[in-house]
Amino acid sequence: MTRVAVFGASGFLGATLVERGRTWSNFDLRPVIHGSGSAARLARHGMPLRTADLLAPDSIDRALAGCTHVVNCSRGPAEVMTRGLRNLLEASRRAGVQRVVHISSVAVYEGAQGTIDETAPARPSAGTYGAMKLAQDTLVARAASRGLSSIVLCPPNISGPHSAFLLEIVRAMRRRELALVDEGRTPCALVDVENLVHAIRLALQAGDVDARRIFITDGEPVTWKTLAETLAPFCDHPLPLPSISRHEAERRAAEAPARRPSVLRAARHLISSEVRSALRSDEWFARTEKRLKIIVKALPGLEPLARRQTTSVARPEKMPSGPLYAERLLRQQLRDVQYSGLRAVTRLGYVPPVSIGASMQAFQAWYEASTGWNDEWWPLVRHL
Amino acid sequence: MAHPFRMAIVGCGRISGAHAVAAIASPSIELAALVDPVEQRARSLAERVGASPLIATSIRELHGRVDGVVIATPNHTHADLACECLAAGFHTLIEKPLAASVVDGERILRLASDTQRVVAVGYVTRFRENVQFMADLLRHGYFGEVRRFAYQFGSRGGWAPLSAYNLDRRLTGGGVLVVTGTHFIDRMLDWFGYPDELELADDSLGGPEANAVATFRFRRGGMPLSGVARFSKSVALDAGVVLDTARGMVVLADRPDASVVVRPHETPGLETVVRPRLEGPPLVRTTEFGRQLEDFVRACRGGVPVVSGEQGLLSLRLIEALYARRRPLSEDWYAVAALQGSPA
Repeated sequence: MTRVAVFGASGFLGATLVERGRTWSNFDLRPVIHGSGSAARLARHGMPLRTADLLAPDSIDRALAGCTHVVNCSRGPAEVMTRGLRNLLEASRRAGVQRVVHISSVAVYEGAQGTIDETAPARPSAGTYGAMKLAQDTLVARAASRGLSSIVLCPPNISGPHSAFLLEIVRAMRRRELALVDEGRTPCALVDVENLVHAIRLALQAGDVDARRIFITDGEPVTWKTLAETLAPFCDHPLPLPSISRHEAERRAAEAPARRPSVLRAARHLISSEVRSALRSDEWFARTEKRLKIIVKALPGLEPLARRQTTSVARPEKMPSGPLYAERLLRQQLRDVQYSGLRAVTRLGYVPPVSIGASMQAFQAWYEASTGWNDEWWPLVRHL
Repeated sequence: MAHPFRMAIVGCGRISGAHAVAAIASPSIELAALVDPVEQRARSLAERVGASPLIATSIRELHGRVDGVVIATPNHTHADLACECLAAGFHTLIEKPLAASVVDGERILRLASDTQRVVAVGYVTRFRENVQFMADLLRHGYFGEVRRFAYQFGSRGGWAPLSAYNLDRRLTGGGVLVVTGTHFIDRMLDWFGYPDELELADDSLGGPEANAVATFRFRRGGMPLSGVARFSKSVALDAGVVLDTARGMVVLADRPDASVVVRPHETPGLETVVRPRLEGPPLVRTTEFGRQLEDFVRACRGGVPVVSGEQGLLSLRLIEALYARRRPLSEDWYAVAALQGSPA
């Protein structure tokens, strides 16, 4: 029996893996969650749910008790993604885990163009999600070099029922905020969640492995135009969809407020009232903040500065011209890249069981059932 | 001026903070005690709200010190705790739902009647100004005939009680229908009465359901009304209610600051906002939790609460009736053929 601890089990991928894994013979999947708030999809099965905090090694040890394999689908703030993953890898080694399957992301290949394989240079901008995933991959590779058998799966955007990515597009279209770039000719790499779950199963069973990334995709090219037109009916969106040139999309992306890491912005964020209020639940922080306030009050030159921080008005951002389009989706369309599936075939024997067509049909069926789209009540609900 | 009403909060988990803040903000209430079997939770809540009430680990310690209590504990504990409080002579505001079953709810109301104490139920959204305004408009027939309604509320996750009891159906008495849906069920009963026919589809596979769709029919003499309510803990939905009325589509989003909007059938491109005309001096605005506590205190001093124990029991009856008629929601998202041919 393969006893698998699934970390991040309450998320989209983790929950689908646990639900699907319940039907696999010789597998016992044990969901591990961080909190009860987002675990409704799993709780409805009435199955036992283990709780662990990746920043608390003891809780990871407890969650791993009796498990032979680990799948890491967890996400979270930077500290959870780095220190938390390190804790998980160390705990897995201590527990004698036979295989760790870690989920990376194609976001590590920011800026790549054309068809690439896993050896393409991974140079994500500092402070981005891609940089965080790259740091994670490095941690997994290091753990593997010390003897922890590990596989890193590298999916693009995940589609299928519950897909947050497809819902993002639907939301943007409902608000008339989606514009195609160059008529939507660029490819949109996708992997259906069932295909990724299938790849995870193969990765848990694979013999000869290394911890280098393996692309897992649907293996069929789909363009943004096809994808958006498939989703358009859910949004009462007329066709054709608005389109802007690549040049215009690049201009808008460049004009959008920069989100590169900035020490100044980080410091501003840290001393903002919201963050301080959240941090005050920590006794040490509360004490230190109180002392700092006393010091600041004692230094007349500093007090007005501190007061200014709490009352300052944010500088207005530059306003782009023309309609407002969802910037993240414009940026995604500027990635004119496809991911080779060769390594997945040779290392895992991966052949995607779900076609793009079946995947989109499944999303549609789920969307209809979950939102009531197009049912007898839709003429009312669409007013919300 | 009457003496402040001495109030205790029993259970110091997540929701208790809102009650404690409301109690402290009210000039007619004294937060007299915080009760939790884990003493540190009570102490920490007292510190958070800057109060120094009695810290207790059991209701027995409250004798002679309080006039009423708010019970804010896991659902399955409501009945025993409420009965203990009523037997001790305390008026009792019970967080929704009244209890985990109709039998338990009836037990509470019997004791309330025997002891002549007030039981109110914490359906706090009923104290929203826009919800009360909508109730007034419906009561006065402002929209004319109401033919159909649709309500939805959905979030990806959310409420996470400290004890995580929300993951166990035996402790909650159900899933999303009980946890969040019950708020709308209560409002619907207030607006339209008890339905003549009802159905429920949900996705429970033994645990608390994450998704539920309830449909209702009201015969109402010659003016039949039908409606649907969709609740989700796994899908984000724009929350609110839409009524199909003689005047047009009436929309009220599920936010305390939302307006009642009418979109006439004949001019769907237009909408009008309906709001109460303000008369008299400006009101001191309090939170919905504040208004709920004030209403409870008023009732304890001789009156009837906005949401009485009887109304709480009616909600429980409806929820039990829905669960008794439940059928599973279909989840066959993938064409079966696509997976049957898979190497998995």
